[in-house]
Amino acid sequence: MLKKYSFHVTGTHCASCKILLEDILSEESFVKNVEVNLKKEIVEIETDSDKNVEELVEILTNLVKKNGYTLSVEKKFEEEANNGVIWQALPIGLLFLVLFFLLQKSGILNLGLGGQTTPTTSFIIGLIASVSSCLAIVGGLVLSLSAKVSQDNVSDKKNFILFHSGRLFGFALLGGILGSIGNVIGINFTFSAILGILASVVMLLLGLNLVGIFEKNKITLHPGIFNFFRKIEHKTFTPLLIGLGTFFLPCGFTQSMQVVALSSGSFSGGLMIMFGFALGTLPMLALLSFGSASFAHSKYAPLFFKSAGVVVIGLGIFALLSGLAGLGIINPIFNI
Amino acid sequence: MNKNVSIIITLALILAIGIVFWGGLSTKSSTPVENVEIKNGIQYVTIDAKAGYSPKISNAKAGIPTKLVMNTTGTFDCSAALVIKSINYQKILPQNGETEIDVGTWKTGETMQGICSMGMYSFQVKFN
Repeated sequence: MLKKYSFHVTGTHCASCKILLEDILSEESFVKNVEVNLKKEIVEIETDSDKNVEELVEILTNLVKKNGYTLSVEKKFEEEANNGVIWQALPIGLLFLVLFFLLQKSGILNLGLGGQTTPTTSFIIGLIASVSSCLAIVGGLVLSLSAKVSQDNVSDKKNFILFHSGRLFGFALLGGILGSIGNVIGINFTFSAILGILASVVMLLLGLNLVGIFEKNKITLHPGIFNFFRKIEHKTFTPLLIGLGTFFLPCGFTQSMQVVALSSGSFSGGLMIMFGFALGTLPMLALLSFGSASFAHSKYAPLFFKSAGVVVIGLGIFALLSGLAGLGIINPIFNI
Repeated sequence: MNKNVSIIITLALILAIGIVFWGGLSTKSSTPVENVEIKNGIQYVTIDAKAGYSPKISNAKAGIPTKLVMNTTGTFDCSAALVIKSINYQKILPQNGETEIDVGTWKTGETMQGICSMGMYSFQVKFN
């Protein structure tokens, strides 16, 4: 005879957790039917097992523990703890934002780099660019995506390596193409500005998600769409493509380097310039992505996700308002 | 951490961000300086582009053909990617050198605005 139990579940950060949980639990032979309700954080199972409810909880929790979920008979009062975390995360996140904008204002980054641009100087320019205002958009995007990927427990390290390789080789390849075409095409400002605005919207959404605004009312989409996203999340080409796509994001440094690559006049010249530049930005971006992965797997994970969310929201607002001003839609608000 | 303490720190940090953006910590002067010159009936407005534009506000004469002179010295940051919407100008300035931009003749009371492609640096030329 089938018996019905319902358990509380914690750790369901992502909307696709429903599918993952249902997949894992239904593999167990004595589980006949499983239904996850993310909104109420409840897992309902139907089983023919004679085990009592505590034993079932233990068995099932062991199945899903490695994915970061916990089942319990009683609802755990994690919400109050979470509310406390946001009050720690808010000042931490804001502190990073203050330091970042102070750094921009300080003038430390305005190193004089005159003369010929060689791959070596473009590497140094990349180092500077990676902590400049470009970090607001490229770094913000990397941080929000990395935190999200780590939170969703997708094989994060592999994805980060793919992203960074996509960025390095994409820059080299596109730089080479720019060098060999020469001055024929110009890089369209409006196109990159629109991409920048898209990126800042993604940052804002992911930031709000990380802070946990959507936690109470997770947007529930059709399972088919989830499956689609899960498939993309697991595809090798997605992080590669995003890495390559950062070439077109608005960043004054990237745009200047693209012009240098254009005027280099040869495939290898443009390739070396853009590869050097991307290599220079690598340490900072790698720190952001692998740093968030190691935080995400530590006991500070909730605090990290929320602090990262605050930082990402701040950078997202900055990038969005600046981008709109750059397009001439609104008056410039910031003038750092 | 105590919740009240953290609220106070939060407010202080928000204030700090406000000061960074709009406050007096500016490293560059925003008061008009002598950067406008009239030669052979053409008005030249010189602006330095590096980590922002300087001066941020210039006062020029209305009714005279005007040219902007953008000065770059090892400029790789966003200020090299200049957009002047009102005359449909967008170009990435060379890393070093002077770029002359013909901006035409402006009427009294008009303001021309230049902005970098990402939008966080801008300058104004006011015509009187």
